[in-house]
Amino acid sequence: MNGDVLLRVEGLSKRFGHGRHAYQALEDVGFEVRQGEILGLVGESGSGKSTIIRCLVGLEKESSGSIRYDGIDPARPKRGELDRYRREVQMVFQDPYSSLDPRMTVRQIVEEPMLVMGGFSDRERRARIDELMDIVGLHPEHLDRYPRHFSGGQRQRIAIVRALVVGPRVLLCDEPVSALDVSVQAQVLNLLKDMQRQLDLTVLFVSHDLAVVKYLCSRIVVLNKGVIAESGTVAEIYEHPEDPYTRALLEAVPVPDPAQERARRAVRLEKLAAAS
Amino acid sequence: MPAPALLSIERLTVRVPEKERIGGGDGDLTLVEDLTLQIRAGERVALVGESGSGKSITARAILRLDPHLTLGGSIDWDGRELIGAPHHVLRGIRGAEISMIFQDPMTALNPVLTIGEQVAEPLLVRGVSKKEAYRRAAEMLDRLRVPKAKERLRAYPGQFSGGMRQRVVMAAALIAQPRLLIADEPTTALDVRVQEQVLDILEEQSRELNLAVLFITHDLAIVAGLAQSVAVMFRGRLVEQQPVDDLFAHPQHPYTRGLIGSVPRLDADPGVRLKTVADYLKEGSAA
Repeated sequence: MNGDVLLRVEGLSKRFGHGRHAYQALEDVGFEVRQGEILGLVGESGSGKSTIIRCLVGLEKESSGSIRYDGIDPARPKRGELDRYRREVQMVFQDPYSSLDPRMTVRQIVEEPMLVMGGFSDRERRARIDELMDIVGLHPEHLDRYPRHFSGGQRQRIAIVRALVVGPRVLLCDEPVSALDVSVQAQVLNLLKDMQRQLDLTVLFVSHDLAVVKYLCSRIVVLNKGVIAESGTVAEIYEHPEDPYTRALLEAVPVPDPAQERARRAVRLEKLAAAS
Repeated sequence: MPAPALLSIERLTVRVPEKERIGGGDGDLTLVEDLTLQIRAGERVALVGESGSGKSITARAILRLDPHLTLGGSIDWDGRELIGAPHHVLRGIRGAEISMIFQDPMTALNPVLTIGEQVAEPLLVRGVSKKEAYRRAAEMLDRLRVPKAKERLRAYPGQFSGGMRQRVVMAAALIAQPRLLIADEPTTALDVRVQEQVLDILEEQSRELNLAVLFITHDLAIVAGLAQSVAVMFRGRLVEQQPVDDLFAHPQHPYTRGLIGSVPRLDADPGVRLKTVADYLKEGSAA
């Protein structure tokens, strides 16, 4: 069913370091991810968007605040809950050149999560891998090759298969297309869109690219220096941005239209000249 | 009549000789094939392509930054042939007549040298006095709108943000008053708002100093407002070059159409499925 809250983040704060050198990466961040939606988490470098994802998968420990997933509190799990959480919430990293072990074959890479989780027979493992490889457009003979034999877009598809083999309900994607060439970006975006529908996935999609987020997401959370600037539906944020930070981000997105870009630059350069 | 070209590249080929090939392989490996491109004084030309297309290799060939590669054809710089030119000639041109800036402003700067030392260096190595070189370094940083330029000469790169670092790199590149700046993805590592500022300053300097710019990028949208002419590379070849307005209005090559069409746009309907570059190439070969 669409609309039930599946993942809830409340009052999340994260501080790195101590005393004078402390850095507040996140401050009282709260949002909900609903079953079956793609939620975009947008901000510049340093906004804290990756830290949120890292807290969600346990790569960082939050300083305060809570995470709730379908009745589970991963910080205080009851028996068996952590296993379920780790199976149902999977992640795709930004850089498919560093997120795949170069010494493992593709089969070893995509099989590993099932071996770690346990409970999958040989036949099941093979069937799941074959099915997902087919869905993402990779061939069975690719399974015996190593990551170096693949392009960035193919590697990211391998990373997506690895995330999906254990049958997650939630996919956390940290800038999954920003390291890819334009020509494969569209492929991976379309793939994510298709997978989300086919498998009824819930996706938290972290990106600095507002155009990509608009294409993919239904709702958006805008982060500015560790604090939520605003959140809303795509229509709300893109048509009526309330926060000056959101407006500034939207205005800085270059558009592939020479006349429009030249006019915008002329206005900015005039302002610059007037200011000095 | 159009002004004569400042830089004229004719039928350039760049090859990796067989003995230099990593991982072996038979024969020379061709990276760039039959590339012809002109840049006039003060003109801003974008060279657009994806990783592996040969765009950076072409830019680096102009200054011969990869000495192990074999160059063919001709690179004429203001009446002088650069291919086969002796090292002292190239040294005289690098940084003084043609400068280059790179993608990552952190690795382009030396972390243990002050900003002043690095911006002034192109003048110091040419015998300008320290006092004069530092005065001009401060002036150049000020031109590039680095706040409190004079005080910042004593700072270190680690104290600067990414956008400020790229301005420092630009200041070092422009201080010896080159006539051509080669900019290889200079804003790819930056946030959109910082990218916009750096590009604004780049264009401003290009206009004020009559500086020609060869702008290398994979992102067509960012050169839409900056370049006067756009050249597109695909698999080591130039597939088309047009004035910027014509290129966006009537892209000729299916690959160019793909580069423009496959990028999500803010003004597009998200319900319409994105066509991939592969889709455009397929349509192109069918037509």
